[in-house]
Amino acid sequence: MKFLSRPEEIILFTILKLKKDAYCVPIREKASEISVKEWSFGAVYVPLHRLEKKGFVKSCFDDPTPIRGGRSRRIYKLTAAGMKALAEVRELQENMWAETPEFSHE
Amino acid sequence: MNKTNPPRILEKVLGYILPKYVGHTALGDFAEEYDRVANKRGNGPANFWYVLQILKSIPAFIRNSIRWGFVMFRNYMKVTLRTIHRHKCFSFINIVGLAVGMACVIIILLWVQYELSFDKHHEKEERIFRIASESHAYPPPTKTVVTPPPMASALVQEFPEIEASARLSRGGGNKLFSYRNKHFYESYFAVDPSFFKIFTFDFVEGEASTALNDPYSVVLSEGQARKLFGSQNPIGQIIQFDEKTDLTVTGIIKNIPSNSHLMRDIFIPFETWGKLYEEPLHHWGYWSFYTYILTRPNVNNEEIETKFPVFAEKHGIPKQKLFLQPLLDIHLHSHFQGEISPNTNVLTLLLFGSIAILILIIACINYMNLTTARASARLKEVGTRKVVGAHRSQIARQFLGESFLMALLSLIISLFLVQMFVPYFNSLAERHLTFNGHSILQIFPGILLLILSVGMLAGSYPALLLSSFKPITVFRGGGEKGSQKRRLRNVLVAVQFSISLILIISTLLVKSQLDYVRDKEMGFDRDQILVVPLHDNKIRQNVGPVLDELKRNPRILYAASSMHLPNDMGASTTIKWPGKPEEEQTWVKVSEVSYDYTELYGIKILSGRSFSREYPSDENGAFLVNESAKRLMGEDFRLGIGLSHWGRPEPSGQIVGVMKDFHLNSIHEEIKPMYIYLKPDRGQHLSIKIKGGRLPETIAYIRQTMEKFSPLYPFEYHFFDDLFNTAYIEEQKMGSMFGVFALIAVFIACMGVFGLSAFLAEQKRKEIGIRKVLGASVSKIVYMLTRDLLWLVLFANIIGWPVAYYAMSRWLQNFAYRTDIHIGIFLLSSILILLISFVTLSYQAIKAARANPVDSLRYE
Repeated sequence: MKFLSRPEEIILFTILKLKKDAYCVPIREKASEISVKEWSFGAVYVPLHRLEKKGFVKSCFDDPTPIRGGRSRRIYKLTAAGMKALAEVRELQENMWAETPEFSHE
Repeated sequence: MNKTNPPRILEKVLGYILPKYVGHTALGDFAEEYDRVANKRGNGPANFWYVLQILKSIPAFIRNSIRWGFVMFRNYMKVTLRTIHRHKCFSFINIVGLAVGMACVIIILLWVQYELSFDKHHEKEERIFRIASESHAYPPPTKTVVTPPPMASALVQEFPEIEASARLSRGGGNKLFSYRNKHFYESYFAVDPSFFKIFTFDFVEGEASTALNDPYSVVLSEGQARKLFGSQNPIGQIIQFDEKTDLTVTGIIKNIPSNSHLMRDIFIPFETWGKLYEEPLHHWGYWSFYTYILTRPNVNNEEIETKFPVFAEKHGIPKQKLFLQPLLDIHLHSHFQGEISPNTNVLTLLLFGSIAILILIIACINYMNLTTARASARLKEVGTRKVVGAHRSQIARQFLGESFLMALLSLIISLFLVQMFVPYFNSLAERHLTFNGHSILQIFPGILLLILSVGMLAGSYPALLLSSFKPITVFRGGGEKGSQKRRLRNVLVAVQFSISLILIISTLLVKSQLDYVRDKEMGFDRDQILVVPLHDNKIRQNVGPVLDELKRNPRILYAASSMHLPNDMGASTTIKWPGKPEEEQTWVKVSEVSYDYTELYGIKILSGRSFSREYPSDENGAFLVNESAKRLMGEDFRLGIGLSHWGRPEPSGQIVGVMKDFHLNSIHEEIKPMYIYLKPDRGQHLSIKIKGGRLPETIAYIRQTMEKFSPLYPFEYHFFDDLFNTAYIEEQKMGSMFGVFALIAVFIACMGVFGLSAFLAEQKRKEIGIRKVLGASVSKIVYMLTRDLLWLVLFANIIGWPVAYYAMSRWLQNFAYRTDIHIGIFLLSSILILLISFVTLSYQAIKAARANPVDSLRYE
């Protein structure tokens, strides 16, 4: 299994959550929301690019809109591999938390 | 909801620095976010946010471009070096051609640098001027740089703007200097003490301000002092000047650099010199001296010039239009009568500059042709690069880079070439160029420009062409669509050969003009005449016995003394004759001679007679005028009329004859009115006409005679022929330099054609093989291979002829008397260049034609 970095993990997760409209702007918003910290565009592009190279996501362009100065959006979708990776992450997390004694954050 | 887009310019910037993989959708993302921020917080903060985004992405941009730049650069270097290595012949032609071309340009740059550096070492150079004048005494107006002696002090007295002035005299050429037993001739300057205040000379010993204050002092250069006194302290030493007086050394200056128009090793006080030779130093009609002035700071020299007409009027020289020559203009822009040292013509510099650039262009064309001709060899590389994602601009940059690398390699080689050939150039052009770190630094901007322009010129066309290939046609195996390409290549070859042709024609024409000058009927004889300069005043004033003694030898036909030699009639004076309007000043050339002068030089007498001992009245004053002077006098002219000269009111003698016109100075000038005057005791030269054969004995006899009459003075003699030729040394130098450059140009052009023919032969290997198998003869194949290029060379004639004709007829305008532009020279040049190119071409062609077809047709 390939390990994902934390930003990659979060981005993959946001794409999953956003379902249809997963392009950079909402991904950034969602990621900022989840992790309670401001993500820059650069912080989104780089992991996205990497994820695509690893084959966890695929992208396609939709129609351009005036608000974007006539440029199209690049919509990302999870691939089967991406889904599998997320599942593995979840499994890993659950495995880790199982049989953990009382845990307090404070 | 309003939609606001980010400013165009910011988008452009961001688009440029964003990594390519995020593409233009990222710009859309930013635009969307910008719109959101703008709606929430207004345009200002939105712009601020946008700029911040740009700034944030800059570090990564720089990191990436350097990293990938380096990676690609390494790759390009590797490929370039491999290409150079693989195609040794082509690379050799390219690099050597470019290196030679660059070396020519660098040498010319050094030369220009040298010529521009003249007289710059004087601290006050901007305020130093020389007085020059334009004489309107008789048409056409002539410009001269000599002035009368009283002018210098009058200028300082009457012009508050002028701080100081100094006179300078060449003092009649070489004079005898003696120190103990050492006697030697040396040229010198006689100058006013203020001379060393105006000009900056480094005094090693003594003070610049006081050096020549003493009337019997002398300033020497370091080299002169060492020659005379060895290691002794030179200050206070006494040297004897021309057997007339003793001078005490009061100052030693550093040797004057060669880039100075004032070059001497000995300086003596002007006033003393004038007294010794009884010169009329108060005379405003005695135009023989140089006047330099130093203006006060912040004075406009045009203001001074506006007052000159009044000044000239006041001192009785209204026909002389005085003007100021800035010191720094003297070397390159002054070509007037009486220059102290031969100056350089800016046109000459321009001419050789453009020749060097033409040679460089020929070399660049070689590079362009050979690179594009071999384009097919690089097609696969270009295709592969494009397939893996190279931009057209990247490929273009690669090939440009390659040509820059070639240029750089050539530059390094050319620096070695320059190092090697500067001494050769110096002896050819009689200059003192130096080539070292310092001079490289001085012309560094030029070198930078050179490499940039060579890189661009040679590389841009191949870069454009090679980057234009489409990978698909390359890999499908389709050939080049070449006809257009070949046409351009042909044009370029034609240009190369036109340039070479023009240079060859010019060289031959320069040579033919030089021959014309050499063989032209000058109006006087040049052969079998020896010239002995007269330095000894005792002989000068009583030359008769010397002449008699010389003539006693049967091998000596004539001997005569004279002020000037016929090829260099120097002095000018005003003359008056009966019937001439009183107020007009008429200047004519004059020389003073002894008996036998016209016979010795074979000057023809048209009417009347020459000076003769049979007419004792000649001793009291007799004139021989030339035809031009006769024309000048017009209807007043008659044999036997009296002439007065040198501003005297009374006639000094009568005209006894008319000489046929002969050339007075160089052939550049028209023949002017002149006369000779019988006065043997003012001679500067002895001319001796000898019979042919047994020359050493005759010279030995002359030496004995001279040493008998003036034992102290070392014997010195010249052949008149040589002296005559010195006037054309500039042209001869130019002619031979021209020849060398033309040779280089032809050589480089031929190298290019050689390479091109090698390429063509290689390309047509299979075709040749098949033709041979089918029975073609060697000569047929040679013809096939050379035909196209030979046509081009022929075509080059069509461009070359008119250009050469135009350029050379302009050059010949410089001569008052010039050779015809012969069609023969053009034909000869064309045949020459055809022959050379045919020999070059046929080497490859014959090699290809004689190859065994088995080798070229066999498939492995």
